[in-house]
Amino acid sequence: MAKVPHTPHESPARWTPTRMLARLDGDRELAVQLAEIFIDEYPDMLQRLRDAVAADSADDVRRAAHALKGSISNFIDGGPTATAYELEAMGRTGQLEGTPPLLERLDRELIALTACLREFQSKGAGGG
Amino acid sequence: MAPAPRDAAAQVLEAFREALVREHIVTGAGLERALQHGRAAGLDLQDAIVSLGLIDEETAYRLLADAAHIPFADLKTVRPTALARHLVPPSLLHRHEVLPLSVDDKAVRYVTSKPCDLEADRALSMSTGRSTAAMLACRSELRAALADDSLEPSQSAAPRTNETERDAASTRHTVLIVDDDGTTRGLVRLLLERDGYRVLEAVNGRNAVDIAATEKLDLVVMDLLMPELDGYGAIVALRSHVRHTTTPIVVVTSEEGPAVEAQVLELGADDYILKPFEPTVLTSRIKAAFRRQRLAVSCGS
Repeated sequence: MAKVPHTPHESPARWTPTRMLARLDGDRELAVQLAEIFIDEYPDMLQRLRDAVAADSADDVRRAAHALKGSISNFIDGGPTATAYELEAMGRTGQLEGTPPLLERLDRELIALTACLREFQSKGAGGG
Repeated sequence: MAPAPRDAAAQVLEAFREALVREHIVTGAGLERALQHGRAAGLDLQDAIVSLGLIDEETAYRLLADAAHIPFADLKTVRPTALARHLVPPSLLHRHEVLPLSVDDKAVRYVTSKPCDLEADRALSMSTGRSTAAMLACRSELRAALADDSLEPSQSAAPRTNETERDAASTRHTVLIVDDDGTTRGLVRLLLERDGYRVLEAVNGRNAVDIAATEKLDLVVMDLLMPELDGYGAIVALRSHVRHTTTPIVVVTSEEGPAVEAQVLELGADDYILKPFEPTVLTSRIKAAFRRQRLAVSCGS
Protein backbone atom coordinates (compact mmCIF):
# COMPACT_ATOMS: atom_id res chain seq x y z
CA MET A 1 0.00 0.00 0.00
CA ALA A 2 1.37 3.40 -0.85
CA LYS A 3 1.63 6.21 1.63
CA VAL A 4 -1.30 8.62 1.50
CA PRO A 5 -0.25 12.26 1.69
CA HIS A 6 -1.59 13.92 4.79
CA THR A 7 -2.50 17.34 3.41
CA PRO A 8 -3.76 16.87 -0.13
CA HIS A 9 -4.77 20.49 -0.63
CA GLU A 10 -1.54 22.09 0.43
CA SER A 11 -0.61 24.61 -2.21
CA PRO A 12 2.87 24.48 -3.74
CA ALA A 13 2.58 28.22 -4.44
CA ARG A 14 2.66 28.87 -0.71
CA TRP A 15 5.53 26.51 -0.12
CA THR A 16 8.00 27.46 2.59
CA PRO A 17 11.16 25.59 3.52
CA THR A 18 10.20 25.32 7.20
CA ARG A 19 9.04 21.72 7.17
CA MET A 20 11.82 20.53 4.89
CA LEU A 21 14.44 22.26 7.02
CA ALA A 22 12.99 20.72 10.16
CA ARG A 23 13.22 17.28 8.59
CA LEU A 24 16.80 17.98 7.51
CA ASP A 25 17.75 19.03 11.03
CA GLY A 26 18.03 22.66 9.93
CA ASP A 27 20.76 21.75 7.45
CA ARG A 28 20.24 24.54 4.92
CA GLU A 29 23.20 23.52 2.77
CA LEU A 30 21.75 20.03 2.35
CA ALA A 31 18.31 21.51 1.62
CA VAL A 32 19.73 23.72 -1.13
CA GLN A 33 21.57 20.76 -2.66
CA LEU A 34 18.43 18.65 -2.49
CA ALA A 35 16.41 21.36 -4.24
CA GLU A 36 19.08 21.53 -6.92
CA ILE A 37 18.92 17.78 -7.50
CA PHE A 38 15.14 17.84 -7.70
CA ILE A 39 15.07 20.72 -10.18
CA ASP A 40 17.51 18.75 -12.35
CA GLU A 41 15.75 15.42 -12.02
CA TYR A 42 12.04 16.09 -12.06
CA PRO A 43 11.62 16.99 -15.77
CA ASP A 44 12.80 13.51 -16.80
CA MET A 45 10.61 11.86 -14.22
CA LEU A 46 7.61 13.89 -15.34
CA GLN A 47 8.37 12.97 -18.94
CA ARG A 48 8.42 9.30 -17.98
CA LEU A 49 4.97 9.76 -16.52
CA ARG A 50 3.72 11.60 -19.60
CA ASP A 51 5.07 8.80 -21.81
CA ALA A 52 3.36 6.20 -19.65
CA VAL A 53 0.05 8.07 -19.86
CA ALA A 54 0.44 8.47 -23.63
CA ALA A 55 1.17 4.76 -23.97
CA ASP A 56 -1.88 3.98 -21.82
CA SER A 57 0.30 1.66 -19.72
CA ALA A 58 -1.21 1.41 -16.26
CA ASP A 59 1.80 -0.31 -14.77
CA ASP A 60 4.20 2.31 -16.11
CA VAL A 61 1.89 5.10 -14.91
CA ARG A 62 1.88 3.55 -11.44
CA ARG A 63 5.67 3.22 -11.30
CA ALA A 64 6.47 6.63 -12.79
CA ALA A 65 3.94 8.40 -10.55
CA HIS A 66 5.20 6.49 -7.54
CA ALA A 67 8.80 7.56 -8.19
CA LEU A 68 7.74 11.16 -8.72
CA LYS A 69 5.65 11.10 -5.56
CA GLY A 70 8.67 9.86 -3.56
CA SER A 71 10.79 12.61 -5.03
CA ILE A 72 8.30 15.45 -4.41
CA SER A 73 7.53 14.26 -0.89
CA ASN A 74 11.01 15.41 0.13
CA PHE A 75 9.64 18.95 -0.11
CA ILE A 76 5.91 18.97 0.38
CA ASP A 77 3.33 16.62 1.87
CA GLY A 78 0.30 17.68 -0.16
CA GLY A 79 -0.23 19.46 -3.48
CA PRO A 80 1.84 17.74 -6.17
CA THR A 81 2.64 14.83 -3.83
CA ALA A 82 -1.08 14.19 -3.50
CA THR A 83 -1.62 14.54 -7.24
CA ALA A 84 1.19 12.09 -7.98
CA TYR A 85 -0.38 9.77 -5.45
CA GLU A 86 -3.73 9.98 -7.27
CA LEU A 87 -2.01 9.15 -10.55
CA GLU A 88 -0.22 6.24 -8.91
CA ALA A 89 -3.56 4.97 -7.59
CA MET A 90 -5.08 5.22 -11.06
CA GLY A 91 -2.18 3.23 -12.43
CA ARG A 92 -2.67 0.61 -9.75
CA THR A 93 -6.35 0.17 -10.52
CA GLY A 94 -5.84 0.42 -14.27
CA GLN A 95 -8.38 3.26 -14.50
CA LEU A 96 -6.48 5.74 -16.66
CA GLU A 97 -9.41 7.75 -18.05
CA GLY A 98 -8.88 10.69 -15.70
CA THR A 99 -5.12 10.89 -15.99
CA PRO A 100 -4.67 13.75 -18.55
CA PRO A 101 -6.25 16.51 -16.41
CA LEU A 102 -4.40 15.24 -13.36
CA LEU A 103 -1.17 15.28 -15.29
CA GLU A 104 -1.82 18.90 -16.27
CA ARG A 105 -2.50 19.76 -12.65
CA LEU A 106 0.69 18.04 -11.57
CA ASP A 107 2.61 19.99 -14.19
CA ARG A 108 1.24 23.31 -12.86
CA GLU A 109 1.91 22.34 -9.26
CA LEU A 110 5.48 21.38 -10.05
CA ILE A 111 6.08 24.67 -11.86
CA ALA A 112 4.85 26.49 -8.76
CA LEU A 113 6.91 24.32 -6.43
CA THR A 114 10.10 24.63 -8.44
CA ALA A 115 9.67 28.41 -8.57
CA CYS A 116 9.63 28.43 -4.77
CA LEU A 117 12.58 26.06 -4.66
CA ARG A 118 14.56 28.29 -7.02
CA GLU A 119 13.84 31.27 -4.82
CA PHE A 120 14.96 29.29 -1.79
CA GLN A 121 18.05 28.19 -3.69
CA SER A 122 18.90 31.74 -4.73
CA LYS A 123 19.15 32.71 -1.07
CA GLY A 124 21.84 30.07 -0.76
CA ALA A 125 23.01 28.04 2.19
CA GLY A 126 23.24 31.16 4.32
CA GLY A 127 19.53 31.83 4.00
CA GLY A 128 20.01 35.45 2.89
CA MET B 1 38.26 -4.47 24.36
CA ALA B 2 35.90 -7.45 24.20
CA PRO B 3 37.63 -10.84 24.20
CA ALA B 4 37.73 -12.83 20.97
CA PRO B 5 34.78 -15.23 20.69
CA ARG B 6 36.88 -18.31 21.33
CA ASP B 7 38.38 -16.70 24.42
CA ALA B 8 34.93 -15.62 25.51
CA ALA B 9 33.65 -19.20 25.22
CA ALA B 10 36.66 -20.46 27.14
CA GLN B 11 35.97 -17.87 29.83
CA VAL B 12 32.36 -18.99 30.10
CA LEU B 13 33.46 -22.60 30.42
CA GLU B 14 36.09 -21.71 32.99
CA ALA B 15 33.56 -19.75 35.05
CA PHE B 16 31.14 -22.66 34.74
CA ARG B 17 33.73 -25.15 35.98
CA GLU B 18 34.57 -22.89 38.90
CA ALA B 19 30.89 -22.63 39.78
CA LEU B 20 30.50 -26.41 39.70
CA VAL B 21 33.33 -26.79 42.19
CA ARG B 22 32.28 -23.79 44.27
CA GLU B 23 28.71 -25.13 44.52
CA HIS B 24 30.13 -28.53 45.55
CA ILE B 25 28.49 -30.20 42.58
CA VAL B 26 31.75 -31.82 41.55
CA THR B 27 35.20 -32.13 43.00
CA GLY B 28 38.29 -31.74 40.84
CA ALA B 29 38.29 -35.47 40.09
CA GLY B 30 34.56 -35.42 39.39
CA LEU B 31 35.04 -32.58 36.94
CA GLU B 32 37.72 -34.51 35.11
CA ARG B 33 35.44 -37.55 34.94
CA ALA B 34 32.60 -35.41 33.53
CA LEU B 35 34.89 -33.92 30.92
CA GLN B 36 36.07 -37.38 29.85
CA HIS B 37 32.49 -38.57 29.69
CA GLY B 38 31.52 -35.53 27.66
CA ARG B 39 34.36 -36.07 25.21
CA ALA B 40 33.47 -39.75 24.79
CA ALA B 41 29.76 -39.08 24.37
CA GLY B 42 30.14 -35.89 22.34
CA LEU B 43 28.43 -33.81 25.01
CA ASP B 44 29.10 -30.33 26.28
CA LEU B 45 30.17 -30.24 29.93
CA GLN B 46 26.77 -29.20 31.27
CA ASP B 47 25.09 -32.08 29.45
CA ALA B 48 27.79 -34.48 30.57
CA ILE B 49 27.29 -33.70 34.26
CA VAL B 50 23.52 -33.98 33.84
CA SER B 51 23.96 -37.30 32.08
CA LEU B 52 26.15 -38.53 34.96
CA GLY B 53 23.38 -37.63 37.40
CA LEU B 54 25.53 -35.07 39.22
CA ILE B 55 23.09 -32.23 38.73
CA ASP B 56 19.65 -31.60 37.30
CA GLU B 57 19.37 -29.97 33.91
CA GLU B 58 17.86 -26.70 35.09
CA THR B 59 20.60 -26.12 37.67
CA ALA B 60 23.26 -26.93 35.09
CA TYR B 61 21.93 -24.38 32.64
CA ARG B 62 21.30 -21.83 35.36
CA LEU B 63 24.98 -22.01 36.33
CA LEU B 64 26.03 -21.88 32.70
CA ALA B 65 23.87 -18.81 32.10
CA ASP B 66 25.39 -17.18 35.20
CA ALA B 67 28.83 -17.96 33.85
CA ALA B 68 27.90 -16.21 30.60
CA HIS B 69 26.29 -13.28 32.46
CA ILE B 70 22.95 -13.98 30.81
CA PRO B 71 19.66 -13.94 32.74
CA PHE B 72 18.51 -17.53 33.04
CA ALA B 73 15.06 -16.40 31.95
CA ASP B 74 16.49 -15.73 28.52
CA LEU B 75 17.28 -19.41 28.16
CA LYS B 76 14.43 -20.94 30.01
CA THR B 77 11.33 -18.98 29.28
CA VAL B 78 11.93 -16.15 26.85
CA ARG B 79 11.28 -16.64 23.19
CA PRO B 80 14.08 -15.68 20.83
CA THR B 81 12.24 -12.66 19.58
CA ALA B 82 11.96 -11.47 23.14
CA LEU B 83 15.66 -12.01 23.57
CA ALA B 84 16.22 -10.17 20.35
CA ARG B 85 14.26 -7.24 21.73
CA HIS B 86 17.07 -6.81 24.20
CA LEU B 87 19.62 -6.92 21.45
CA VAL B 88 18.27 -4.93 18.56
CA PRO B 89 16.18 -1.79 18.21
CA PRO B 90 12.43 -2.33 18.40
CA SER B 91 12.07 -0.63 15.04
CA LEU B 92 13.88 -3.55 13.46
CA LEU B 93 11.97 -6.31 15.15
CA HIS B 94 8.66 -5.62 13.52
CA ARG B 95 5.63 -7.74 13.96
CA HIS B 96 7.10 -11.07 13.06
CA GLU B 97 9.93 -13.25 14.16
CA VAL B 98 13.16 -11.94 12.80
CA LEU B 99 16.44 -12.01 14.59
CA PRO B 100 18.87 -9.96 12.56
CA LEU B 101 21.72 -10.82 14.89
CA SER B 102 23.02 -14.31 14.98
CA VAL B 103 26.02 -16.40 14.21
CA ASP B 104 25.13 -17.40 10.70
CA ASP B 105 22.22 -17.93 8.35
CA LYS B 106 21.52 -21.39 9.66
CA ALA B 107 21.31 -20.13 13.19
CA VAL B 108 19.10 -17.24 12.18
CA ARG B 109 16.64 -19.61 10.54
CA TYR B 110 16.67 -21.82 13.59
CA VAL B 111 16.27 -19.04 16.10
CA THR B 112 13.50 -17.44 14.16
CA SER B 113 11.45 -20.60 14.11
CA LYS B 114 12.00 -22.21 17.51
CA PRO B 115 11.32 -21.22 21.08
CA CYS B 116 14.48 -20.40 22.94
CA ASP B 117 14.39 -23.06 25.59
CA LEU B 118 17.12 -25.43 26.60
CA GLU B 119 16.39 -27.69 23.66
CA ALA B 120 16.63 -24.76 21.30
CA ASP B 121 19.98 -23.72 22.64
CA ARG B 122 21.25 -27.23 22.35
CA ALA B 123 19.95 -27.59 18.81
CA LEU B 124 21.35 -24.17 17.92
CA SER B 125 24.67 -25.30 19.26
CA MET B 126 24.51 -28.49 17.18
CA SER B 127 23.34 -26.73 14.03
CA THR B 128 26.23 -24.32 14.15
CA GLY B 129 28.82 -26.82 15.34
CA ARG B 130 29.62 -24.60 18.28
CA SER B 131 29.52 -25.47 21.96
CA THR B 132 26.66 -24.19 24.06
CA ALA B 133 29.20 -22.20 26.04
CA ALA B 134 30.30 -20.54 22.82
CA MET B 135 26.70 -19.75 21.93
CA LEU B 136 26.12 -18.22 25.31
CA ALA B 137 29.36 -16.31 25.16
CA CYS B 138 28.20 -14.90 21.84
CA ARG B 139 24.88 -13.81 23.32
CA SER B 140 26.60 -12.33 26.31
CA GLU B 141 29.00 -10.42 24.10
CA LEU B 142 26.20 -9.09 21.93
CA ARG B 143 24.25 -8.00 24.95
CA ALA B 144 27.23 -6.17 26.43
CA ALA B 145 28.18 -4.55 23.15
CA LEU B 146 24.67 -3.34 22.51
CA ALA B 147 24.22 -2.12 26.05
CA ASP B 148 27.27 0.07 25.54
CA ASP B 149 26.22 1.31 22.17
CA SER B 150 22.53 2.06 21.74
CA LEU B 151 21.16 1.29 18.31
CA GLU B 152 18.40 3.83 18.72
CA PRO B 153 20.03 7.23 18.50
CA SER B 154 17.79 10.22 19.01
CA GLN B 155 16.47 11.28 15.65
CA SER B 156 16.79 14.94 16.36
CA ALA B 157 19.87 14.92 18.52
CA ALA B 158 22.02 12.39 16.73
CA PRO B 159 25.56 13.74 16.75
CA ARG B 160 27.17 14.44 13.44
CA THR B 161 29.93 12.04 12.53
CA ASN B 162 33.29 13.67 13.06
CA GLU B 163 36.07 13.55 10.51
CA THR B 164 38.06 10.90 12.33
CA GLU B 165 35.08 8.57 12.52
CA ARG B 166 34.36 9.12 8.85
CA ASP B 167 37.90 8.28 7.89
CA ALA B 168 38.20 5.27 10.14
CA ALA B 169 34.77 3.75 9.75
CA SER B 170 33.45 4.55 6.35
CA THR B 171 35.96 5.08 3.61
CA ARG B 172 36.44 1.40 3.00
CA HIS B 173 32.70 0.76 2.65
CA THR B 174 30.94 0.80 -0.67
CA VAL B 175 27.19 1.43 -0.68
CA LEU B 176 24.97 0.81 -3.68
CA ILE B 177 21.85 3.02 -3.91
CA VAL B 178 19.10 1.44 -5.99
CA ASP B 179 16.24 3.79 -6.84
CA ASP B 180 14.56 5.03 -9.99
CA ASP B 181 13.89 8.34 -8.22
CA GLY B 182 16.90 10.52 -8.94
CA THR B 183 16.14 12.93 -6.11
CA THR B 184 16.24 10.21 -3.50
CA ARG B 185 19.38 8.74 -5.05
CA GLY B 186 20.95 12.19 -4.93
CA LEU B 187 19.93 12.81 -1.33
CA VAL B 188 21.20 9.42 -0.17
CA ARG B 189 24.43 9.96 -2.08
CA LEU B 190 24.98 13.36 -0.44
CA LEU B 191 24.39 11.92 3.02
CA LEU B 192 26.61 8.89 2.55
CA GLU B 193 29.44 10.73 0.85
CA ARG B 194 29.43 13.18 3.75
CA ASP B 195 30.05 10.22 6.01
CA GLY B 196 32.89 9.02 3.81
CA TYR B 197 31.25 6.10 2.04
CA ARG B 198 32.00 5.22 -1.56
CA VAL B 199 28.66 5.39 -3.35
CA LEU B 200 27.43 3.60 -6.47
CA GLU B 201 24.01 4.10 -8.06
CA ALA B 202 21.58 1.83 -9.88
CA VAL B 203 18.35 3.00 -11.48
CA ASN B 204 16.46 -0.28 -11.09
CA GLY B 205 16.81 -3.80 -9.72
CA ARG B 206 18.28 -5.25 -12.91
CA ASN B 207 20.94 -2.56 -12.96
CA ALA B 208 21.67 -3.31 -9.28
CA VAL B 209 22.09 -7.05 -9.87
CA ASP B 210 24.49 -6.35 -12.75
CA ILE B 211 26.57 -4.02 -10.60
CA ALA B 212 26.53 -6.50 -7.70
CA ALA B 213 27.98 -9.19 -9.96
CA THR B 214 31.16 -7.23 -10.49
CA GLU B 215 31.50 -4.87 -7.52
CA LYS B 216 32.28 -5.61 -3.91
CA LEU B 217 29.36 -4.07 -2.05
CA ASP B 218 29.25 -3.52 1.70
CA LEU B 219 25.64 -2.37 1.89
CA VAL B 220 22.69 -1.82 -0.42
CA VAL B 221 20.01 0.87 -0.07
CA MET B 222 17.05 -0.51 -2.03
CA ASP B 223 13.82 1.03 -3.30
CA LEU B 224 10.95 -1.35 -4.07
CA LEU B 225 8.78 -0.16 -6.92
CA MET B 226 11.07 0.18 -9.95
CA PRO B 227 10.90 -0.68 -13.65
CA GLU B 228 12.51 -3.78 -15.21
CA LEU B 229 13.24 -5.55 -11.92
CA ASP B 230 11.67 -4.29 -8.72
CA GLY B 231 13.26 -4.24 -5.28
CA TYR B 232 11.60 -7.50 -4.20
CA GLY B 233 13.16 -9.34 -7.13
CA ALA B 234 16.48 -7.62 -6.66
CA ILE B 235 16.65 -8.64 -2.98
CA VAL B 236 16.02 -12.26 -3.91
CA ALA B 237 18.62 -12.08 -6.69
CA LEU B 238 21.21 -10.51 -4.39
CA ARG B 239 20.59 -13.02 -1.63
CA SER B 240 21.08 -15.90 -4.04
CA HIS B 241 24.43 -14.49 -5.10
CA VAL B 242 27.24 -16.03 -3.09
CA ARG B 243 28.93 -12.65 -2.61
CA HIS B 244 25.87 -11.02 -1.17
CA THR B 245 24.20 -13.55 1.10
CA THR B 246 25.00 -11.36 4.09
CA THR B 247 25.46 -7.91 2.53
CA PRO B 248 23.14 -5.66 4.55
CA ILE B 249 20.15 -4.46 2.52
CA VAL B 250 18.24 -1.43 3.78
CA VAL B 251 14.93 -0.92 2.01
CA VAL B 252 13.95 2.74 1.57
CA THR B 253 10.50 3.02 0.07
CA SER B 254 7.20 4.84 0.12
CA GLU B 255 5.41 1.47 -0.03
CA GLU B 256 3.88 1.46 3.41
CA GLY B 257 2.38 -1.20 5.62
CA PRO B 258 3.26 -4.14 7.83
CA ALA B 259 2.72 -6.58 4.96
CA VAL B 260 5.31 -4.81 2.79
CA GLU B 261 7.71 -4.56 5.69
CA ALA B 262 7.25 -8.21 6.60
CA GLN B 263 7.68 -9.32 3.01
CA VAL B 264 10.96 -7.51 2.39
CA LEU B 265 12.39 -8.74 5.67
CA GLU B 266 11.31 -12.29 4.86
CA LEU B 267 13.03 -11.98 1.49
CA GLY B 268 16.28 -11.07 3.19
CA ALA B 269 16.35 -7.31 3.72
CA ASP B 270 17.81 -6.15 7.01
CA ASP B 271 15.90 -2.96 7.59
CA TYR B 272 12.98 -0.95 6.25
CA ILE B 273 12.69 2.85 6.17
CA LEU B 274 9.72 4.78 4.89
CA LYS B 275 10.08 7.77 2.54
CA PRO B 276 10.37 10.63 3.07
CA PHE B 277 12.95 9.79 5.69
CA GLU B 278 14.90 11.95 8.07
CA PRO B 279 18.57 11.96 7.07
CA THR B 280 19.75 11.16 10.59
CA VAL B 281 17.46 8.14 10.65
CA LEU B 282 18.91 6.78 7.42
CA THR B 283 22.54 7.33 8.36
CA SER B 284 22.00 5.95 11.86
CA ARG B 285 20.29 2.84 10.51
CA ILE B 286 23.11 2.31 8.04
CA LYS B 287 25.70 2.61 10.79
CA ALA B 288 23.65 0.20 12.90
CA ALA B 289 23.51 -2.28 10.01
CA PHE B 290 27.30 -2.19 9.72
CA ARG B 291 27.63 -2.52 13.49
CA ARG B 292 25.35 -5.56 13.58
CA GLN B 293 27.25 -7.13 10.73
CA ARG B 294 30.55 -6.62 12.57
CA LEU B 295 29.10 -8.20 15.71
CA ALA B 296 27.66 -11.12 13.78
CA VAL B 297 30.97 -11.72 12.04
CA SER B 298 32.81 -11.41 15.32
CA CYS B 299 30.51 -13.90 17.05
CA GLY B 300 30.45 -16.29 14.14
CA SER B 301 34.16 -16.40 13.49
